[in-house]
Amino acid sequence: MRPRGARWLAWLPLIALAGCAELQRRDPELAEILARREERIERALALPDSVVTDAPVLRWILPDALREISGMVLTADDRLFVHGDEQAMVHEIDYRRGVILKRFSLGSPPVRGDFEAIAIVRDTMLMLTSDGMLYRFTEGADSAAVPYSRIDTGLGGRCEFEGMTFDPVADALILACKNALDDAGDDAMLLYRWPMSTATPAPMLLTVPLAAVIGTREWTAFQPSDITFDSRSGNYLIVASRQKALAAITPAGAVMLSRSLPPGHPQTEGVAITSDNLLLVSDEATLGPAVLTAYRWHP
Amino acid sequence: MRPFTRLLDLVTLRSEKPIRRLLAYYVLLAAVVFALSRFVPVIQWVAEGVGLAAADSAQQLLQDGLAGTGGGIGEAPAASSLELLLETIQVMFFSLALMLPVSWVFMSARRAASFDQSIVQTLLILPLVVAGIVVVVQTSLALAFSLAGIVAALRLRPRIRDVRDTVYLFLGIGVGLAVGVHAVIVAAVLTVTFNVVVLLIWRYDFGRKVLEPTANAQWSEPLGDIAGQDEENAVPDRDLILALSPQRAAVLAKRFRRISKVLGTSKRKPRYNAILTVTTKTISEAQVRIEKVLDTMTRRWRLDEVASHNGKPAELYYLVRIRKSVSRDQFLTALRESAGPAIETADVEIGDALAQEQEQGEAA
Repeated sequence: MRPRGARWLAWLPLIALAGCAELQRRDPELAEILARREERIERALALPDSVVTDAPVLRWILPDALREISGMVLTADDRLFVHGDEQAMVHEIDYRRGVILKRFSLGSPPVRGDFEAIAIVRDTMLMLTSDGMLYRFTEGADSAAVPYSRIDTGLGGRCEFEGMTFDPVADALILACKNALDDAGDDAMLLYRWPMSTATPAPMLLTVPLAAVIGTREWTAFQPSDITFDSRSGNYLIVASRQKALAAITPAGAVMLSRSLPPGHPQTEGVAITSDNLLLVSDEATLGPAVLTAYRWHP
Repeated sequence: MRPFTRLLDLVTLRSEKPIRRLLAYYVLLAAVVFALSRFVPVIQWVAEGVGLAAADSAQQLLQDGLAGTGGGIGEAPAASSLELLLETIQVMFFSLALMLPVSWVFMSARRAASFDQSIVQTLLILPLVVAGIVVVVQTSLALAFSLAGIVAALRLRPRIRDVRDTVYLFLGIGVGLAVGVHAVIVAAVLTVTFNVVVLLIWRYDFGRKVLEPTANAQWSEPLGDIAGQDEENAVPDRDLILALSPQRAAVLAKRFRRISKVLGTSKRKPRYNAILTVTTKTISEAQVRIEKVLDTMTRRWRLDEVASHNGKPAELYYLVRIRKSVSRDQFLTALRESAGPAIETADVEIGDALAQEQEQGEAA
């Protein structure tokens, strides 16, 4: 006779079967949803410019693994890579359909640090920590742990960095300084150029007067949280989380645009522009979850 | 539960040591969860803190943040009813499985005086409720605020006598929260550490002031004196020697002082000079028969206390003033003759005052 206490075990195979059946049932639904999402973005991009507002075209709620999303970058073929703050885990997101395609780490277990930005230089990826340390690696397969090398820019003593992008015209990384650790940033926004073509690069400082960035707005500072290169205009587009602001400057330092971000961006940590003119903005989780938002972008 | 108990006996080689049995339980639980996760992947996902949607495949569908704002065309489906059912069942299972040993530790390591059965039951129920609420609320700020409002309206103010009981309840809430957000590993480590620490604290009486005697030592000597078998120092209440906690001993001491006061040691002549203790299974019949004897052989008497015991004979305590002409033996003989089978035992404790009088009389 079977003991009474073991009767509940008979339910386990049923639960297992139900779980497997349920997961299989979801596949056709997924395909349908993704198709509908693709259709939506196409429709939004086809709208005439005159109806464009600050309303987002897309907004994806990011999972817990990306609740501290910190940086993002687009490849030449518009594949989006993002990463979190505390460990070097890189996720590829299909921003048009709202799907995480793959994730890989730098080292196993993933290397830990205060990662703030990511950039792509030809076939190499680079991540930047707030103290100016660069991590160089190549794209990995799903769930892979890729090898990496570290490069110390030597700028950690001068700045707390929050953003980085690659300027293909200047063939240099552009590092955005959030807080200057010396007097150089008292009345200016600081950007450092880190040449990629020389074996022993010497950083160059680009100073943009704060007054020019702020203009008539009520901000008292402008602290970049990310920067991206706009290939259409050749300008740098910078977002500032604390001021909830957006600015575009030329590589020479002239301010072309300065405005507030649309509402609904509590803590902007990443910015990128796609080749089909979508402005992607990522926000870290604060009171709500982390989100990735897309707007139509017309420089 | 018998097969489970047998299994624990087998693993622990029939050891009665709580830590061994506790560790055996955790090992068995881990083995069961590991084995099940091989066949039911969703268990692994919940145990590893991965949401069901996230664990679906490498291609994780993101939730649409524009849904309901007029911009949504295609919307990611919420978790299906079956998914929700599976998830909730697992959350309930882990809550219960992790809190069960905590309740055992609570039952083992609490002193009898402060033990409260309702807390043991709460320890099992509370995490289930908390985990269920967390599953419902998830990351919804609106739901969280609603819940806060409801809880505030309920005015839950339990009166808990011992602060350590509150810690157990906090643990229950913590485990419920952790399991509810799928952080089962955190909940498991939390309960294992908690249980081991509590058992060690209990085992070694951690925190006791070393210069103060334990409750046992504090009371054993005076209780030994009080409960001595010699004629001059005997007391009827044998439970006294079993009292190990100060609280219980204080209650018994209070009773003893009351009786002692009645019997008296002062120079003033006491109203009563002895205690008659009778055990019986038929209280009413015994009372009638005993009181007939008391009316004839004592100057005055009073029924002081009737102590009923479940499954044991009741005890009747009479305060009596025995006539001088009646000896103890005569009194007991008359009592047994009158009451007969209605009483089981009878005893008379002569008070100090009478003993002193007798001594004085003999000396004169």
